[in-house]
Amino acid sequence: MTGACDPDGAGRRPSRLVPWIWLLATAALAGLAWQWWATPGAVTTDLLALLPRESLPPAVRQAQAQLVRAAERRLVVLVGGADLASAVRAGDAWHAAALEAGAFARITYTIDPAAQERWRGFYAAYRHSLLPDAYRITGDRDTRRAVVREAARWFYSPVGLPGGLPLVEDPLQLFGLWQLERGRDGPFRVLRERLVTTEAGRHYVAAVAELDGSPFDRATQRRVVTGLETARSAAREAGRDVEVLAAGVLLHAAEAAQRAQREVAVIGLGSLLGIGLLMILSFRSVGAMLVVQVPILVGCLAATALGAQLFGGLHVLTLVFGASLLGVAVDYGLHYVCHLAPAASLPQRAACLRRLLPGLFLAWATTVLAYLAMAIPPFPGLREMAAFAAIGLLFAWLTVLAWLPGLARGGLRGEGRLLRGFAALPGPLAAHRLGGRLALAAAALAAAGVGWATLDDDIRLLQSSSAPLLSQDERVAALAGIPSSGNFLLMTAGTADGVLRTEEEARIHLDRLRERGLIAGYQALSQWVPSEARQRDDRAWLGRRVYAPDGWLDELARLVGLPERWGHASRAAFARAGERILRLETWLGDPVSAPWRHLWIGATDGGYASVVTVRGIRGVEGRAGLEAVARAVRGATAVDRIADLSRTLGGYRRQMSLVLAGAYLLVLGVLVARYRGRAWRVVAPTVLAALGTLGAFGWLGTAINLFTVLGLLLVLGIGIDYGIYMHEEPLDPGTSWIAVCLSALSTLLSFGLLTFSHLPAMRAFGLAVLVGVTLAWLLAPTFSARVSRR
Amino acid sequence: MSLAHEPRRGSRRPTPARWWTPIWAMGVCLALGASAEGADALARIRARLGEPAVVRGQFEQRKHIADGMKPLISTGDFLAAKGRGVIWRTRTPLEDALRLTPAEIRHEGQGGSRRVPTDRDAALQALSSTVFALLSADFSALQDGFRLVSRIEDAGGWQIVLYPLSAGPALYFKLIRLEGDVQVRRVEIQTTGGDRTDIRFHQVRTAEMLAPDEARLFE
Repeated sequence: MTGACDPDGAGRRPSRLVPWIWLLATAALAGLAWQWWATPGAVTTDLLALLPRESLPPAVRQAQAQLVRAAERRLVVLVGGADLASAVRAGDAWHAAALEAGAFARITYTIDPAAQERWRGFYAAYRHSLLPDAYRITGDRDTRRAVVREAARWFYSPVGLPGGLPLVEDPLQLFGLWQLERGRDGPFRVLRERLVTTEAGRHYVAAVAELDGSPFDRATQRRVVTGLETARSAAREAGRDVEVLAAGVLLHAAEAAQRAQREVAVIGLGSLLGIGLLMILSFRSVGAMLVVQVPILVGCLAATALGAQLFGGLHVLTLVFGASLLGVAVDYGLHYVCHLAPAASLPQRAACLRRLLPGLFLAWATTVLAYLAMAIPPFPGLREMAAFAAIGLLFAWLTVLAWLPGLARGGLRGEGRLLRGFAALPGPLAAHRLGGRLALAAAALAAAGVGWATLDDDIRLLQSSSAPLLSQDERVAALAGIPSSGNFLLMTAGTADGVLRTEEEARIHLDRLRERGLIAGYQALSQWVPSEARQRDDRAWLGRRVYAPDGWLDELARLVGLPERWGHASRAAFARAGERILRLETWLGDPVSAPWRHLWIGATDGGYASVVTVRGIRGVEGRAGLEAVARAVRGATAVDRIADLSRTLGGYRRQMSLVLAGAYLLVLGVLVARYRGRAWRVVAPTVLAALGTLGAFGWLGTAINLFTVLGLLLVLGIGIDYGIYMHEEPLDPGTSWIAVCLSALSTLLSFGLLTFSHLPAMRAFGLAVLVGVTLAWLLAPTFSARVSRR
Repeated sequence: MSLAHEPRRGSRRPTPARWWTPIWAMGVCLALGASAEGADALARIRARLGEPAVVRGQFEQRKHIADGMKPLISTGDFLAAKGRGVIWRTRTPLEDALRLTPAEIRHEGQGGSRRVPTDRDAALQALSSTVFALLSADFSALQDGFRLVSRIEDAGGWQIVLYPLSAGPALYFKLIRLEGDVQVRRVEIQTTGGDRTDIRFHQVRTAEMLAPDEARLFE
């Protein structure tokens, strides 16, 4: 086998300084990387950081951010038992164990009746402005009679409504009824001072735990997960047939982080070992293996150190993706090592490198550009990955230039079995033999499969949570009546009071939806703080109908048999209370508003906004119902996060498809400049490979999405390299072919491991590259004009 | 005051007792820790009352509302069934049937019908469970909520006073007083809202079972 760099002719001695400078640079990088690794929060697991920046109206963005912030630090835990007693026992055990574990900042578990009294006291002051919805009455004769009769019975009942107010202050029990209405929504009941819900005869007690750190911080995650485990076993021991369900952002983040860490290890080590094995089988030399692995290790070191500096920390998925870089960055060292003559002296090795340089540079440039093109869609996650890859490749390449001539001693080119096997391949694969048929097959695959290709831009591509976790989430949401975070209504108006009025209008429609069963319930600020107009109306109504002379109050007194004096006293109490309007700011400032404060968005561009959250939305019909409400009410917008995000992904997919087409043209232009008439041969394998990949996806029934397109970008970047190596003068095509085989195998190994990732997006990416690179590799000799037949 | 018996779910079935007798029977258990005389008194009260499953009778209720005017007087009859609930039927001055069960308070009558679920509101729940505990002789629950002081008088009569201990009952009750001899004769409830209800019972009869048409009332 002849190498491109035969040991004839002398070469110039390379600079002695460069390797040492590079060593210093590497040491500096190592220092930076160490510093980064030692900082807490070095690796982020923030799932939301992956999501694309959408172009949303600022009010919607603010609302989403606020809802997310409100929810992300909480965990909802349900402890279920066969009956109430065992559920309570288990719940108490869970609570005690969780407190002891110290995993949470605060756990809300028991309901304090005194707190409820405080709450009652707050609203009692405004009771004349807060009438129960069911009592928005017209005041006709029959209604009056019915209401008065009903009120009368409370005077004679041994058990009253504990509104906390003497009857003279609330003769019609309207305040009591208002409280009942407020408490009606939601699946929870208060039993034994705990929140309890039931399903199919089982009882569940609820606890809400608050985190003392970010849910994306590894340390917090570990603490909480351990604490939950301890508390869970404590609960199981306390009762029979106990189950503990938990839901919260932290659980998803922790699981994602764990899986990602595993994947980095698997892909990274797998790639390194695979490459090492490849090298040993090919060259029968451990030295060859080490020499080839040094540049990729330096590349990864640089990518982590500089990437962390650039982005202030790295996302765990960037590391997963970066691990697949190993198979790609190894190419340059591989080619150099393959082309080296055995027992070449240092100047000869340097000369060899110089001859390879143009080819290596072109190959490197196309690959880097392909990775950088991934940064075009405004996806923070993708940009990080693109930068990581580009830096890694740059430093790997530079390391080859700086160190490899020095490191690659003679005797590297032994003849391993693998090498012999590869050397024999081009024959059959050349044009007019198997290769031709392969090319036709690929073309056929493309033509047929592309027609069947389906598109799928669902945002769930970026969802990495396992099925058990997702189903636990769903169960908790259903049992606890947690409102949907993906669908909600945004209410906007020019003034804060206007927002409340918009809400009141929308609530009429929402009540109808609830009656039809399309939603289970909703939460709105105006349920607690009616608009000023409504408050004034209600009080005026009371004055006009109830407390006026010979009004409802007087009729009640007559019916019950109370003296006139009592009526006067009640009237005086009403007058004394005066007109007190509950203002939004007052309410927001008091602790009673704590559970609903997150619904108030506040000032946004040009006005104010609030959110109405909905729970129990029944499928497509329910969502359509919400859209209808938004259309019917001015100032209301229905927000559907999933649909929005999926739409955004689809838009990027289309954009990147155009970029891909443009990239092909650009590459073709560059190749024509270098190879003139043979340019089509260089690019043909890649084009056919790309089409064949699309076809294969169609055949397999795997949908095409943004990440498939990004994978095809990479296929272009890598596949082109093979064509370039095959056609680069004055390299011996036989040796080039061997190098191409080795780099193809290492690339396939890395991306093959990537297809086992838990993230569907990564899987799609890996699969696209896998199929594409295989086709490009096998088709390369077919189009090569210079395959040496042996 | 007639109140309902809270049916126990799960393993703890109510011991075959007394429902009306509750308060007294209750007194017995609550006497754990009380003086020998107190315990003795409660035991005797309990023995005197027996343990029927169903109690019915007539009542006269005087309700003094907060501002000290003349009391609101109502009369009617009641039916209390262990494990089911209480029906409190007011006849004069207005017709009203009040049904108390562990899950809700229901009014029916001249004023229409109104259901008040007691399980949505912690205070209402505390009130309701206290009342049920009172009537179902759930001594442990009452013990959590109240402190009992019982006394036997010379003429054969007795009296038990309950003072609220925990936050729940204290929100509504100021104190409850029971008096009687061979039957319960009088219940007095003072609430924090300032109302005082004074109920006297006549023609109290006990039985072991509900008549079928009565049983239907509790559905």
